[in-house]
Amino acid sequence: MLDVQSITKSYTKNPILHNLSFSVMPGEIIGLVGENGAGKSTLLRILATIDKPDNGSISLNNLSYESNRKKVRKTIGYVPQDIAVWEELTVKENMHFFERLSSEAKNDDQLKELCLEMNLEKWNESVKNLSGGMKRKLNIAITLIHNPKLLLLDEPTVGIDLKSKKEIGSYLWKQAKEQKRIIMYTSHDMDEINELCDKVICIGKDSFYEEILSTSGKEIISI
Amino acid sequence: MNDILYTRLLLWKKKVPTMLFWLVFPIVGTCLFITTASTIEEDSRVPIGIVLEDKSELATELINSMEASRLVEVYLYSEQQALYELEKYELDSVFVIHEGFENAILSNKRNKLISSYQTELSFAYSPVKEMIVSLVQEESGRAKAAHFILQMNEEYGNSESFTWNEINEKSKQVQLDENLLNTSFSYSNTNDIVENPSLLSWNTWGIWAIFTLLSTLFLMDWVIREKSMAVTTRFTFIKMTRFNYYLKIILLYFMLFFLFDLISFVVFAIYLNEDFSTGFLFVILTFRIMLCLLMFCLVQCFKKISSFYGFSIMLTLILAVISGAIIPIFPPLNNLMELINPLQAFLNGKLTVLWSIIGLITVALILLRKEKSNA
Repeated sequence: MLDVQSITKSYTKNPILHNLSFSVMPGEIIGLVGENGAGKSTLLRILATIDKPDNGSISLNNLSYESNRKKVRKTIGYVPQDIAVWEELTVKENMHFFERLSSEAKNDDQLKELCLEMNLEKWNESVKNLSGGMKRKLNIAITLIHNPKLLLLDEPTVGIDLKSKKEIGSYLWKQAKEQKRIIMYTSHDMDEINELCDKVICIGKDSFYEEILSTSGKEIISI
Repeated sequence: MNDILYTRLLLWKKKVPTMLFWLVFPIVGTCLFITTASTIEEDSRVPIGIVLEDKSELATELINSMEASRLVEVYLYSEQQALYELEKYELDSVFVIHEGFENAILSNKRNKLISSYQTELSFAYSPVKEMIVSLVQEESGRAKAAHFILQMNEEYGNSESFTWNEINEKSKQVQLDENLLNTSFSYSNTNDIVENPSLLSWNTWGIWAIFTLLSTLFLMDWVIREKSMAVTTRFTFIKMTRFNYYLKIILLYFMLFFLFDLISFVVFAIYLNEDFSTGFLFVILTFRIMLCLLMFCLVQCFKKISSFYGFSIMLTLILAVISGAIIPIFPPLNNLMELINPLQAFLNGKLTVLWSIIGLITVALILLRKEKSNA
């Protein structure tokens, strides 16, 4: 379980996240929505241990972020908004590159299987020749190499075609429901949020997103 | 370390030509520089024509002395041919050693021994003329001394008589033994005396050090490239700390560079006849440690690759000038230079200890800072 208690984060005098608390159970998919600059990416980066909150506490499966940072990191997968792969390498080389640096060893077949599950079949193709959707899929596949319990994705489907978007969506749903991973992701696509998420966290003062989602029947947490 | 080697090989594989170019650049650059400089030096000798009317031993010896000079290229012609070549400006000047040259010297006559021709383009005529005059004077002085000794032998009826050749040979031997006209050349920052200096003596390892500095800087550009890539976000979640990750990459680069340093060492020993001393290997080793560490620190200061390349070229030029690798530095400044110039210890043939320690401490601080911000 991911437990966030009263976290605050500010870069200027005005806090970007203020006294934020929520908890997520394994197998749940959480959508993070809000206008640009509301603090969605900041929250993801804090949950990914890349940034630290000014106040508050976070724990994942009863492991406190404060005292078990390195241990917690091994159970977190973070997919940044930018495609974080080596453009000059092939899909196979990228997977092997990050497997070698990962805390969990996987063989060639297992790595290939990870890509195939996402319909990423161009195993020996150079990344620079892949479509935007394929690159996004590889971006996620690499993150799953070390089998994380908490998967954080920053706009994972931005700028890609509908088919790839659906494929990624159903893959994430499977990962959450079958592997009991906690998945949190940011998106501006309300249809996608409606379709996939169990809960939605609305960040920011603007009630625009709350109003849109009010008829969806989803549990909405406004902060 | 195997994981780092594997992952780096994956990246290196994609840029083999560029990497190989910069790795062999110091070796090829130094060899080309030294070879070209020697060729230019050979080609820059002043061509002079000699017309040898007197076939005597003394005249032949004079020709040999001229040919031994690195300043002139001697061509033996007939007078007609020599003047034709002079008119075509193929020769700078022509000197005619007249018949009876040896007899005139032996009889202590010094006038009209040699005639000369020049053109309006004979820029080197005066120094060449002075050189020939000094050589003739040397020979005539020796001849005069021999003549005087023989005369005294006759006057005082010495029982032990010497021949002209014996006196001549003895005179040369004394000149050689007494080292009367020898000048020792050495670099201002070395104690090694160059016995047979060329007009311009190049410091092979000094030139190599300059080329190596540039190639190391250019091969360290991966730090800037990777720093600006989204992929670095993933390094937060790898199995090793950032401190270890970067330290291992530096170590790997160091091993790669040192391998090519060893190749340079062998190539220079074979191709440029440099000393094959094992002690110097340690000098190269510490120089390489210092370069890897300091260049890693330096590259951290840049975000844009183009400004880094510009700075690298400028730094190389500045260090090339102040280190004395190309232009010798003023000796009293040598010790000061060793403190402010990281290349100086290597150029002086010493272990680069001070700057290696500075590099090591700075790298440790940078990596600890990275580790802290990532914790």
